[in-house]
Amino acid sequence: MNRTTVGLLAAAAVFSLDSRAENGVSANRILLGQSAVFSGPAAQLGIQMRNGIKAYLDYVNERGGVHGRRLELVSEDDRYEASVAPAASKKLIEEHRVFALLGYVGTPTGAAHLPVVTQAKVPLVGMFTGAEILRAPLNRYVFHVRASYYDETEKIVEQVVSTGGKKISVFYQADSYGEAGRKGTEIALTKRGMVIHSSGTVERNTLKVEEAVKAIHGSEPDAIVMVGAYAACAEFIRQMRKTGSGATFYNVSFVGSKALADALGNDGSGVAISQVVPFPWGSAVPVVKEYQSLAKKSGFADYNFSAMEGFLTAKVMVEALWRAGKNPTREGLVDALEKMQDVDLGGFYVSYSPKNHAGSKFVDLTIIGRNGKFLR
Amino acid sequence: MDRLQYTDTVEPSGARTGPGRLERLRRRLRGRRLPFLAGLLALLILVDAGLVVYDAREATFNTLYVAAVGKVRMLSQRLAKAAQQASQGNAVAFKQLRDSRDEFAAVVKLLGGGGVASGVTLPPTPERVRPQFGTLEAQWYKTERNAGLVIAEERNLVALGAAVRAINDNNPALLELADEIAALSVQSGGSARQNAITAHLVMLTQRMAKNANAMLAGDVVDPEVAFLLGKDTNTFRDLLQGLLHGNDAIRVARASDAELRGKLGELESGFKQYQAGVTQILGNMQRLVNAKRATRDIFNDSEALLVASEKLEAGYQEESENRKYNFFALGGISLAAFLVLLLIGKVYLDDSRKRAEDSERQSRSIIPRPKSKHRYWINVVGNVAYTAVREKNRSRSAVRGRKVILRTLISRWGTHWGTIEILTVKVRLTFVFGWLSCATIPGWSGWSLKTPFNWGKEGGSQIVVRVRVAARIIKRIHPFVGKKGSLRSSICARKLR
Repeated sequence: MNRTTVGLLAAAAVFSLDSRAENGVSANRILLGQSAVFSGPAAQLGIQMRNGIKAYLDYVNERGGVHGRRLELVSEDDRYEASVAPAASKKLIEEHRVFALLGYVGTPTGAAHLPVVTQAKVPLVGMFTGAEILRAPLNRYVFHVRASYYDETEKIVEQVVSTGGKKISVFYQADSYGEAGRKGTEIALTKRGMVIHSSGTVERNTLKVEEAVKAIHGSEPDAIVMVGAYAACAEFIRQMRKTGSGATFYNVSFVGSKALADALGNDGSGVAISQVVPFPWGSAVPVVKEYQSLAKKSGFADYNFSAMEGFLTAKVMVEALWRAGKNPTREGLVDALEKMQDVDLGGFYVSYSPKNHAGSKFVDLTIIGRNGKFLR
Repeated sequence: MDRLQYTDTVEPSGARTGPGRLERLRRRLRGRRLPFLAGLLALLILVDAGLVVYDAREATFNTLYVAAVGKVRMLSQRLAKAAQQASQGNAVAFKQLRDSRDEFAAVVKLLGGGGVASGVTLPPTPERVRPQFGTLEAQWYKTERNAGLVIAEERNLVALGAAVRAINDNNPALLELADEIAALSVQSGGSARQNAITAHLVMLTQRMAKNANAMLAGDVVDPEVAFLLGKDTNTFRDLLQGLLHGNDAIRVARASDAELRGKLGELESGFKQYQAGVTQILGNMQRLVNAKRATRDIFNDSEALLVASEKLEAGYQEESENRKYNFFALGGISLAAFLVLLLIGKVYLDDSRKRAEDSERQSRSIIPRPKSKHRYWINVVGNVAYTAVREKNRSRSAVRGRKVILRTLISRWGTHWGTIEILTVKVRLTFVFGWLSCATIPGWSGWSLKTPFNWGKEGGSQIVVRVRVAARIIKRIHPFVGKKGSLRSSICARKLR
């Protein structure tokens, strides 16, 4: 060992000491945290999100990580319950000492996570929710990858109206998520001089949809905007179909498209879902092609929208980490993210600024076809 | 000689012991038996006639029912066919659909409540066939409602058919234009995004046309087809507007190439007509969905309707088989009538025989002894003839008749055989003339023999006829009497002796 080497080592030690000051970053790894739902009726949402994130992180680690640091992911189950959520985030930040957070799932849980995250000043990239309450007012530490529910409901209402629908009802989860979707629908309808035809609700993590079916079916709507998770929505659709309703069902992206299609089976045909990420089964979009090959390599070959979103979230995070430099800090990461203007992730563009953390306004509509496959 | 004293053989009726009570009753009954039997016969014939009329009525009704059900069967299929055509916007099919529905409804009404069919007042479907009719009726109400739904959408469906035709007519030009634009975008060095969008436009022209046609032609409106049609129209509009004016949201930059912009303008105006068609289709989506659903139901139910009408037809057929009991009844009553007729014949014969017997008894008592011997014999011969003929008429066969005559002659007039022979010879002289006269007398039991022979009370010509008749009888029986050496003649000879 010569002096130079010793000096380099010392420098490295100093750097690593520096980094150690920033939680979750060590000489050869960066620890990332995810709090999402991994159990109960909405479990697929968290599981798929994690699969998508892991698929991309595996790829990055295989190629040497970011600035020589491996990226590791630790996940916590918040059971899609707002009461459990703060503890989950706290555990990630204080116990696991993660550097940054990504791939959160849910509006009510998100709303419960945010105070903890904001207080700890830990950047959070990508929430699997489009609720406005998580977007406004602007939170310096929260960055969204997907379009908002308002964007989705606007697109849905436009589609319903242009296909001759006049009576639009809303079926929503009785919490902040459902309320966000209902509000979005209302805004889109008001813009067109219309009102919500009728509405019904379902409690989170339950399948008690009978009341809603009765209320909504009785009003004979042309279309129903659904703001819920896949299990309850599937139950609602099935019961509505059984009563002979001819309405078209429109879900917002959060429902968990693949999980919904699987839950519905043959009843799924004709159920529309708005999407905020590219169609994961087509390969015309470069990022989808990348997702497919990497997911397959990681053993998650059941392509779906949730994993696609996780993949994009991971991609945004990795891009930001690269931009944050060799000695990433949480504040540095936030600054780097805010400088990401019109970044092409492979046919999917995100754009942030100090005044805008929305990331994308991309919304596409898909429908479940006869054989349970998605059409767009 | 005592045999000749027949005038004395009749005893005064007062001397006889009166008939028993039973006998009297029987006589009285016998007197009324004929009218009673005649009445019975008339009654039976009347019942028979009634049965025939009833059966004919039943047969007519059944034929009408079966004919009506046959029509229903045909209509069930015609209706389904017409509905399918109608739901695809075929204007002619609507007339067919309406006609079929109205005819069907009329037939169901006729079968259910009765009415006039082919000039016959048809009663409602009989109770025994009601269950089958009820099934058909229930099926029909479903189909009728669905047919009504389709007919109500006539204006819309025909307009939709026209809209799709317009789209089809417009489509080649639109495709050509979109194709040109895609090529032009590449040639003019457009961005990758712009090239991708123009290529996407080409695809959309085709997919919109495909889905518009699929919507009209399919037997159900696929929600995904309507969805994609709506989505594609919106996407096409957004992309086209994006290329013309730029759109950040969908990341399309304003196209700068002048030629490209010109073509985009053309595409925009071409798409406007296209869009109008699509808007019309989608604007009436719910109606189209309902009409298609009704059509599909009509088609699916047409089979059930057919089965129900077949069952109903079978019911009517079964009902017509009950008519065989009519035939049995008819046969039985006819047989009874025939028997009564025979009885009448017998009674009539009995009566006439009795009357004849009575009159004979009378005649015996009234023939007076003629004054001259010649007249006496004429009377004798005449009476022999009378008696012989009567006896012969009473027996059935001719041979037996002759035997009877012979026996009568022998038993009554055997002692005077020779005289008869002589008389026969004498009478033969006038036979030729007599034969001709006889031909005019209808049978042996003709009018001239109805009464006993009495010279003194009849005119000369009548006597002549009677003698001739008698002569003819004798001539007829002569072979038995006259041949010497025959068994008959020897018997006769013995008797004569």
